[in-house]
Amino acid sequence: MSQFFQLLIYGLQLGTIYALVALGYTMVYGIVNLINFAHGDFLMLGAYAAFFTALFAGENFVVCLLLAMATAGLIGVVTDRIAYKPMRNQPKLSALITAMGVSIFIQNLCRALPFIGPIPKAFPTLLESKSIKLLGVTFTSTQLLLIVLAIVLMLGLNFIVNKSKVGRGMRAVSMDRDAAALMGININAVIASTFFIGAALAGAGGVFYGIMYPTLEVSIGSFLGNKAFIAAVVGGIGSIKGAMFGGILMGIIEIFATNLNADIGFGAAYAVLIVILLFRPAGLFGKLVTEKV
Amino acid sequence: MKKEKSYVSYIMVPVLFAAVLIFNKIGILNPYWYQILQLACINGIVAMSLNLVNGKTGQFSLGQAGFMSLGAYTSAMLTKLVFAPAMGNPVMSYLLFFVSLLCGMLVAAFIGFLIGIPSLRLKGDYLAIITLGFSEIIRVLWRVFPFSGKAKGLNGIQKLSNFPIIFAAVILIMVLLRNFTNSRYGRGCIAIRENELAAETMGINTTKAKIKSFVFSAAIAGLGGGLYAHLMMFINPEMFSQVKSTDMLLYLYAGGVGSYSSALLGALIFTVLPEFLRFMGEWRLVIYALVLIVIMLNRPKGIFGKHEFGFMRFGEKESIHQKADNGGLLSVFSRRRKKAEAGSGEGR
Amino acid sequence: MSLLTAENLSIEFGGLKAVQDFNLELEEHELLAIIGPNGAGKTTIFNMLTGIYQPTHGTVKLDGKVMNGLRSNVFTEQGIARTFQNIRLFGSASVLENIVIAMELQVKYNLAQALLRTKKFRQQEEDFKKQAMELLKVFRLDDKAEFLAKNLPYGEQRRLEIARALATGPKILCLDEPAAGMNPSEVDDLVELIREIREKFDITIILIEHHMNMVMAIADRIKVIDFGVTIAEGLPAKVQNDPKVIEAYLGKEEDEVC
Repeated sequence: MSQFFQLLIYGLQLGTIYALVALGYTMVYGIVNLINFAHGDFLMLGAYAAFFTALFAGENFVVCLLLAMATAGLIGVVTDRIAYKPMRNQPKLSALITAMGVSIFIQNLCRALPFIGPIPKAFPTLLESKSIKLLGVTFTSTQLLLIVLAIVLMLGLNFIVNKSKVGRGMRAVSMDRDAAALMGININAVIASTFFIGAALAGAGGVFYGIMYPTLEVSIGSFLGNKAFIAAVVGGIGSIKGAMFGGILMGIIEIFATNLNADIGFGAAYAVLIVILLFRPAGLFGKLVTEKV
Repeated sequence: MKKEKSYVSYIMVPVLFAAVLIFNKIGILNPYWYQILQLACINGIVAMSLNLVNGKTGQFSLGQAGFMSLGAYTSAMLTKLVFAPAMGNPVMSYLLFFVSLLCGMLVAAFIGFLIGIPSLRLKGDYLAIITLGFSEIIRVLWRVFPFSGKAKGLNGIQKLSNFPIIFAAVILIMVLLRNFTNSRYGRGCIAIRENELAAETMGINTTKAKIKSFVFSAAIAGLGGGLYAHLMMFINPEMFSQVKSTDMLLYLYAGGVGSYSSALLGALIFTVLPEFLRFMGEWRLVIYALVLIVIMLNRPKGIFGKHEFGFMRFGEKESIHQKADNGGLLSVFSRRRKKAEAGSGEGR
Repeated sequence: MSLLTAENLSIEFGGLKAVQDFNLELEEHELLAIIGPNGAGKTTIFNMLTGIYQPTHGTVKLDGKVMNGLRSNVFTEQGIARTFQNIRLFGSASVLENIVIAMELQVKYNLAQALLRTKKFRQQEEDFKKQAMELLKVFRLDDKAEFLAKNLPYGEQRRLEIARALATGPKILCLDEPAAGMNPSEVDDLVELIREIREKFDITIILIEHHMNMVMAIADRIKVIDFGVTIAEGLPAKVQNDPKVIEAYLGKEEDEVC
């Protein structure tokens, strides 16, 4: 029983990271209808930003986290401007291929850059970890802090989307971009802030993941990004609630399945994905768009 | 004019084939590039199969590596584990190789059928994701399944693929795809791509039509996989990961989606290009990705667009006007034609 | 026996009764018009008659066969064809291809014959093209056979859609607002075209339309729908003077105050 709760905590920790990353996928998809294949790479860049901050400016968790989020966010905005914006009025799949190209580019650029390179780096221990024992379940203060922090970030996002002016713009653009433009919403600003927020959350996810599994390498972006993407789809891509729920669900399932067998853990995410899509073709919280005849 | 053009492409086929063989013999094309060229042709086969589903039927499938792996593993297990003792002389080995390839295609087609039935109800990105999911599940199964060598895969597969066979396969597949596309089956696919609901009301069973194109595409990918296994001489599950599927997608879209010829050329160029860039070391894939992005930004419909080689256009739109003129039904309407044309200009 | 029978056809969308108890007995060679204000449920009726929506209650009988629960391609097979209010052509296919696609039901060759391009295959394909060109001639589109459908002007797209529906070889043709967006002279042409079609193809037509002049000119019988309910039915002259119809179109006098 105590092992069950232990796994559950791990699952929650991983799940909240997936949720943070999934949010970026879902937000970008909601606004520009693009699966941003490079989103996982924003995460990786955020994690490296934290790594270098720790290296040069000391191992301060808050500074590292903020810089990671800012770096990832800025790179998100720049990527959108350079590579995605020209593709807005092009066929959707051409934009998708461009996104794949961007992902390959970022990953290999990082591998080629001498100060990053292909060799894994040890992620710094940014947080002092104390063991906490509660009702026979042992977990660390770091785990608790990261879970809480991830939830706080998600609540913050929820607040921005539902209560702020930018959020209102986002919701309007996701419903009908042309109509939103006619209502005087600055579409480009909304899209840029979406990319910034989405990528910044991914950057935070990267730092949290680095603390959880302190091996930093270039491929964590696509690896983690993939799983978070699945989580976003399971939750219903385009739905913020879906991304949070899907992320946490996939994290927990993965930890439990991996506990049984590594290969099963590997396939479990996809199996869940297929089952969910077959029974709910738009994911758990997604809305199916029906064509009007 | 068109006639002449298609002759050119008919002549180009044997000329290209002979040129490659001769260049290889006299040493201009060294074994390394010869191998790359064969690999590129195999990628071309798979990219063309993807064009049937993505380009012609308008269904976004992203699991082609899974079908490739089915063809690769099935045929490799047959030649390595079942047929090996009977492969005494070359005639026998090639005969059994073809049988193995065929079995690989059938298995890929069958699994494609099983996957297609539930998946093809989904549309757009969701279809892409579920096909990707199935492809990854297939990969996990190869990692678990004992006969397939688990994570290590299969080694010591006989090198039965060679340039003539692969080249013949490319031509054969192009002809089959062309004939499929220029028949009711391909027309059904195009109708679905253009407007699924209207296709259905034209009497097309869209579910069946989609499954047919998906299964045919899976079979061709299976053939590509079989050839690939017997070219590389070893296979493992990681060779058929998501990366392979997205590579195929890149070839197709960078070449020009909607055209088999462009898919083939896209595969050739983007298989060969990274090899050309080898001298750049670590920067090779950076440049590769940059080239890809620049192409997509400047030519969003792919380098070659929707053009097809002359021999791929065979059986399309030839001198329809003449045929219509002698079998004409009514001349009553000619009186009103001018009026209608004048009026239609004011339409929306 | 009537060609098409609808009995108590009703459909609900999440509690909203879009169409209630729609009854229809369509005789051969008849031209029936369904009219009614916007949002009255006319297109929904078409969608049920052509198998796109499944009715919540009631049955559709086509040429003696109960069609409930069948796919819309089976409806087409059974002899009903339609056009759409918002044009749904195969835009990136040529005008000719649009027609040939609709000849799907006449195809007699199989996959193997298609892949090998046997003589039977080639002959049939040749035949289809000839037939398609003849059909296009009737619609004065033959000189645009190689144009992409999406590049045609609006009025011609409407005509092509009718031609495409006819290519399926239907007994009944359902036209959903064929004159929408046309100017008066184009509407006149359309009226003449529909008359031609009726004679040449020996066909039964159901028409949804807003242009009253057009409906009065060609309909044998009119059904008036409002809020999903049939409020009047009969000969054009009779329907025209029905107070309920006038009310549905113009509103009651008290309403206008609001």
